[in-house]
Order: sequence, then structure tokens, then C-alpha cells
Amino acid sequence: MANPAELFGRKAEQETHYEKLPQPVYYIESSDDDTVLVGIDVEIKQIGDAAPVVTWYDSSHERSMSALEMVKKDNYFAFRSADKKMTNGEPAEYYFAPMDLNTYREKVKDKLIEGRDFESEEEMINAFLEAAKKNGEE
Amino acid sequence: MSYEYAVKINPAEMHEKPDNIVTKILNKIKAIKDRILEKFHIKGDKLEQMADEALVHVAKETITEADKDGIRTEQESADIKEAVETVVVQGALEEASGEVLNAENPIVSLDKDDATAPDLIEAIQDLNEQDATLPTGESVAELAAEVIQRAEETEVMGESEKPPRLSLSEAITNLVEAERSSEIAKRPRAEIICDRNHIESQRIDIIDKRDAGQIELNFKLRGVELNFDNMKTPGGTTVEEDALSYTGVDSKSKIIVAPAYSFERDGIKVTIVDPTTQKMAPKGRVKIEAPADMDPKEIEENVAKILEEELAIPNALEEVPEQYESEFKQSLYQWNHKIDGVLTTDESERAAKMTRKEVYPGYTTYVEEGKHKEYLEKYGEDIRPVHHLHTGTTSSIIRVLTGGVMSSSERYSCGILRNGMSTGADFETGGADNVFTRLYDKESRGKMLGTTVVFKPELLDRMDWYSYSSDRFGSTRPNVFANRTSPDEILSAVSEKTSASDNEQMFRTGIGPEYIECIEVDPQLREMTLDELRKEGVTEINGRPIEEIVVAREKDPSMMNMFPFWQPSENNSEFGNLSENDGDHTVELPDNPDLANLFGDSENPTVELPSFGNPIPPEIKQPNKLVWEPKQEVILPGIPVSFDENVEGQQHYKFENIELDEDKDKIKLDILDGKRTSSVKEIIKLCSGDPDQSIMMGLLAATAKYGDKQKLVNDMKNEIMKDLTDIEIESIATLGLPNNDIGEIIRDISDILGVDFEGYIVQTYNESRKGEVNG
Repeated sequence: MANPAELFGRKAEQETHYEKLPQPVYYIESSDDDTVLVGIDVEIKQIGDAAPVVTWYDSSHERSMSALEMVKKDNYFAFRSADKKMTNGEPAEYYFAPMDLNTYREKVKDKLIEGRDFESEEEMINAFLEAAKKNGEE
Repeated sequence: MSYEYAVKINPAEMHEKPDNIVTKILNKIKAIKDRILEKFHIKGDKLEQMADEALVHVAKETITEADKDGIRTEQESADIKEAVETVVVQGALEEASGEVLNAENPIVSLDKDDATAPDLIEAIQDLNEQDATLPTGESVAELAAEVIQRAEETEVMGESEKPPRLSLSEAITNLVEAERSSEIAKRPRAEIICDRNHIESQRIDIIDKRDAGQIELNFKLRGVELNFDNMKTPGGTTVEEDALSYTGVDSKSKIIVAPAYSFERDGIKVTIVDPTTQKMAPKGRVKIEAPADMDPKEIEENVAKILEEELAIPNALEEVPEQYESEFKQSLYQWNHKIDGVLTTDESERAAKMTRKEVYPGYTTYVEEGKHKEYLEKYGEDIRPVHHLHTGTTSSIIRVLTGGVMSSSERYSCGILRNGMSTGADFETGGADNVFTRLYDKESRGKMLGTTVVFKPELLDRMDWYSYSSDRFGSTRPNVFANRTSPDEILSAVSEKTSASDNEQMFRTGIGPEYIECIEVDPQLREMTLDELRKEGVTEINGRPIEEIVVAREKDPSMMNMFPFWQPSENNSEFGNLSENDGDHTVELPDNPDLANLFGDSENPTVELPSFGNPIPPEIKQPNKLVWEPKQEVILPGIPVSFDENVEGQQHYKFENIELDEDKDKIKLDILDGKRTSSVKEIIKLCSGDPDQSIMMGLLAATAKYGDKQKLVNDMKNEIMKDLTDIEIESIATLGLPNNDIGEIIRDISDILGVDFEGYIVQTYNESRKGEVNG
């Protein structure tokens, strides 16, 4: 009989999980990381047995973090970082919620370099995408 | 740039009178420059440089092509003569102008190359015999000879010979006298090297901000304590509370990045960022704005006085004394290599040999020439710094290939304020002063998606970069910065594949286009990218054909067949994806009218549920939308996901990072004895390569007995489905378990766990087939 363990892992090294979260722009909140706020084009990729990596564009830079644990419910997503710890030693947690006008006005606008008001959610989303497009060209 | 820019001259015309030959060549050069201007909208030095590169490239290619078969035909000789004489005339024009360009004279480019030097000499002799002169009356051949002679003298002096240092007033004069397009997209910049140990990197940026009526100097203070008691400078000038801001070159928009103090003296405004700010990038930043019409010498005198009398920095604008230059190099070497103690003799000697080099237009830093070769030899020849282009559009590729990549701070300094919707978090962390890269080997690059700038390994010669093994957003906060990795540490981690894909390197200010090795794109997009570049009239950049620059990524086989991370959600997958609406959440319904009917009105199947966030104004409700409200427990306000596994309706994934540091045999015994539980993944890892084939079955039996059997069974189902190929699954579903190792293992596992895994495989296969048919 072949070693049963060899059956498993035959494909593992060849596998790639890839998924792009459905919303174009997310609000990101973290328990212990004040550098996150906006996530554009959020993607999850796992190659073989390596830890999954969550990447997004924050409108000026690409962010990329390895995840130990992830949860997803409808359009909401969260992960625990593989290498960032909270002050209590537990993995830092990142929560992603679709960016809506309320969230934008209450939690995001004032933290932007030049946050402005929008009449509609569509206008706001387009403004983020335009920023990402323009800044992403460098 | 394209060869099409090179206007062909009929060889017969080359035997006309010398004046006519020069005139025709001048017309040809003008046509080339006009085309470059038309396509790239650049002027001045940059235009000359691109024209030089194009002409040299054409000459070299013409010679190479002609010599391929070892015999030059009459036509080939005429083509070579034409191409090389064009270079000579262009070089002579530059020599006659007396202007010193950043790039070398094109005549030198041909003279340095053994393959082209003989044709160059022949062309100069020919032009000399024909008494070819420029419109100014100067001899083309004599000017070319002067260029070659000076280049040879410089070579004898050695490459380490420093170029003449410019004073502040000279640098300003050069900057403002350079030809400048009336519609600039980016303010030109220059620098002076000065000071001893108060100004970061012993350099001051000079920005040509005449569009705003100013010349701007900016730099960062280091180790200077500001003394503004009673809101007065030490020199008695009144200080006001202010802010560090940047103004856009196009829109005149203005953004504020940090609180600051400011004062004015002698018509010059000085803004100093509040030293207590928590924003790391602007911390220590000093901006000095002088009226554009002020005489450069007056600016220099006034700024020197201000720095000495108001900020207590004596001799700030003077040349760096050798001792201080040496100390800075030692200090930079320690910083880059993260050396805490005293440098060894070898390290000290290496630091002393570092030279300043322009690594981005208008920005110099020290480099350890050739250091990258040591890195590559030690850690792998295929490791490269890369930078992902978020958009990867044709315009972004052209912009990067011609102008390089710049940091956020540099972008703002030069007046590029494209969109204020940026978070500015990089200003908080300190990352804004840098261009971000990640270090990947070829295999890792094969697993990337999208458009990636791959830099030459020579970039690692620079001494102004720091690194983290994972995403820290380029932080320079002291507690984070202390844990950065040295170049050797990060390269070693990349080489040994212990570094995460989110490692990051931060290069100060910008990375010049000369450091770009190639642009890697997804294989299926290469031709489209090339076509788009051609449509823009770009077939070559800086003498390199675009086919050489834009390359298809060598895809890792695992990337050929990617599949979603999450299984389709049971909650909403059949209803489509969630989509945005104004202030609330909606679900797009499928076009299928039968399914839409489930929600009532098939013509306008909108079902309103209690609002979750903002109410939806009736006028923007759309047909085929279902207003959605999450009913789950809210963990953070508005975020109904939790790491609590008991929350219903959410998909959960845990990465088992199993590091079996302990004795494998002891772990196995503990599991068999019921002293600890295990998971399928751990059991697989424990038994990988195990010669005793029955051990895994024993561990599974023990785990089922002492642990969570149901979880073990579910995990095993997933593992089996994951590890069988589609063909194997189809074969099992249609023909039953095979009489081979796979069949035997599945039977054994079924017996031990008391589960019909064959039946599960058949059921799963049939369900997927049913889904395909219905779909």
C-alpha cells in the first residue's frame, strides 16, 4: 500500500485559490492598526500550503497581509493577521465592510487628505476608483 | 521611440556638397525631435537625450545588421555612413551649444563601443575631408574630436572623479534656465549637496515652482532642536502657527499634510513642521519659499543667513567638508545594513568607497557599486525588486518607463495632486517619502497577477533603502523601525522562501527609469499591451524596443487553474452578488423570471426589508434589487462577521500553520494515547514521508475516538475532494473505486472512520453535474 499521506498533498502544491471580494471599495477597520482605512480591489490568494494573502489598494499603495484566519458573510469580510499582533499578543484583526455614504461621512471623510462630500454612493465609489486609477499609475 | 522617427536620406545625396549634407542631416535631426516632441511632449535636456539615444541606437543597429554576414554591401555602407554621420552632427551641435547635459554626448556612446568606434572615426574623417560645418561655421569634425578628447581625459581621471559642485545659486540658475514646456505636468527639480550634520542626507531639494511664482527649497532637519520661545526665532523673528501644505501644478489645489510653524524674513518664507507631530513623513521637514524673481545669489545669501541666525545651522549651504562626508557615509552604511556596533575594517572601507549617484531625476544618494552582484551570487540570481502597477494602463506604463516611479512626498512636492481621496496613511507611517517594492524570485513573480515593474538588481546598490519582512506600510516609527530587516536578512528570507509575499522595501524619493529591467504582464495581455503602446506611437523607449521591455510573465503552473477561495455562499449565491445602492445594501436578482417571481412582482421584483444603514430614497430604488438587512450579531458596528465559529451563516477559514518542531514520534504517541487531539492536516504532515504506512490510519482512528469525529470526517471529505483530480473523481463516480493505491487508501479510511467516502464522492460529482446542466 502507498503511504496514505502521499495521496494528500499531491495537488496541494499546485493549487491556487483566488478570489476578489465583490464590492469595489471597502471600509477597513482594525483593532490595532491605524494605517488601514480604505480597500479597493480586495483580493485573497492562497498558493499551495502557504498562508492566504489578502491584498488591496488603499488609493495610494498596495497593501498585502498574510492571514491566519478569515471569515466571510455576504459582503462582509474579516481576517486575522499572520504576523501582526495586538497589544495583548493576539493576532491583529481586520474587518472589511462595503463602503457606504454613512460610513464614509462618519469614519472616512475626515481622514482623507482632501475628503469631500458626495450626493450619492455611486459618486463616492467612483471618486475612490478614480483616485486609485490616477495614483496607481505611478 | 520608433525607428520611424529616423528620416532616411537617399545615399546618392550623400555625395552632394558638404553644406547640403549637413543641412539635410540637420533637417533629419529636427524631424526626429519634432516627432518626439509631438509624441512625448518633452523639451529641453530630456528631448536632446531621447534624440541622442534614438540616433545612437539606429547607428548601432545599422552596423550590427550590416555585419551579420561579414560582408558589407554598398547600400549597407551608405546606410552606416548616413546613420553615424547623423550622430556626429548631433554630437557636434551639443558640443557647440556649450550646454552640459546630464547624459553623455552621443559621439562618446559610439566611441566607447569597439563595434562602432571604427565607423565613427571614418565618418569624422570623411566630414573633415569635406569641410562639413555647422550653420555657425564651426567644423563638425573638430567639434567631434574635442568631444572624444575630453571623454578620454575624463576616463584617465577615473570615474570616481567628482563632477564640479554647484552652489545653491548656480543650481537655481541652471534649473530655471533649462528649457521648460509651458504646460508642465511636474515641477522640475534639482539638488545641492551641502551642510555637515544638520540636514538629512546632506542635500537640499530645489523645486522650480515658478508656476506659483516661487523657487522652493526643502529638506529635513536632523538632530536640530527648534527654539521658538515666545513664538520668536533665536534671531528675534516672529513665528506663527501654520501648516505644511502642497499646491498642485495644474489645478492650483492645495493640500495640508502637517501642522507647522512659519516665519518670514528678507522676503523669504520658512515653514517648519511641528516637531511634535506624529506624522512621520513630514516630521523635520523645512520648506523655504523665495520669490521667483529674486536673484539666485540673493536667495543664497538670504537663505544662508536664515539658516544660521534663525535655525542655528552654520555653514549650511557650503560644501560638505571631507570629514563630515566620510562620517555620513559610515553612518549610512550602518543604517542600511542595520549594524549596531562599530564597523569592521572591511565595512569601513566599503563605506568609504561609496559614491553619490543620481538615481532618480534630480535626486542623488550613495551607492555601493556592484553590491548587487554579491547579493545575487549569495541569494539567487533571479531575485528582483518589483513594484505592482495598480492600473497597468498604457499611459501608466509609458509614464513609468520614461519618468520612473516616485514617492507620495515627491509627487506632492512636484505639484502632482491628482486626487485628494487618498488616505494619506503613508504620511503617518513615514512611508510617503519612499517608493515601495517587494523582493521576489522568478518563481514568486510567476504567481503574480497584473502589471509589474521589475527593477534591475543594481537598484540594490543604493544605500537609501530599508526593508520589512511583512507589510508595515514603510513605517519609520521608532518601535517598528527597530524591527526592520537588513538587506542580507530579507534577501536570505526570500531565497529560503521563509519571507512572506508581503515583504516590502522602501527606496527614498524615487526610482529612475534606468533601473527598470522590464514590465511583466500576464501572458494573455502582452500582445494587447504592445498593440496599445504602438497605437500611441511608442515602439521604443530610451533605445530599447518595447518588445524587449514588455514581457510575458512566466506563469507558475498552479496559476493556470485558479479557483475561488470560498465555496458559494448558501445564503445568497443563487440570488447573485451583493451590490451597492445608496446608503443600503441590495442583492441583484437573477434574470431568471421564475426565481424573480419568488419575490412577488416579476416585472419589478423589489422587496423592501427593514433598513440596515441609510434609508434608500425611493427615487433611486432599482428594479431587480432586494434590499438586504443582515440579521446576524454585530461584532463591530455594522460589521456582521466574527471569528466566533458559532455565528451562523458565515464562512470560516483557518490556516493551520503547522510547525512540527517537537519530536514527531512523541506527538504520534500522544495522539494514539488520546493525550492530545489532532487535525487531518496535522496527521498528513506528521505522516508525510513516513515509511510505516499503517501509522496514519492509527492516528485517524485515535483522533476519531478521542477528538471531534464529525469535524475530522468533514475535514477528511474536503481533503479527499481537494486531492483528487477531476478525472479521478469522474472515474470513481462512474466506475467505482479503482484497484490501485488511491482506491485502497479511500477504502481503508472509510473503514476506519465508518464513513462511505466513495458514496460522498459520487454524490458530490452528481450534484456538480446537475449544477452544470441547470446552469
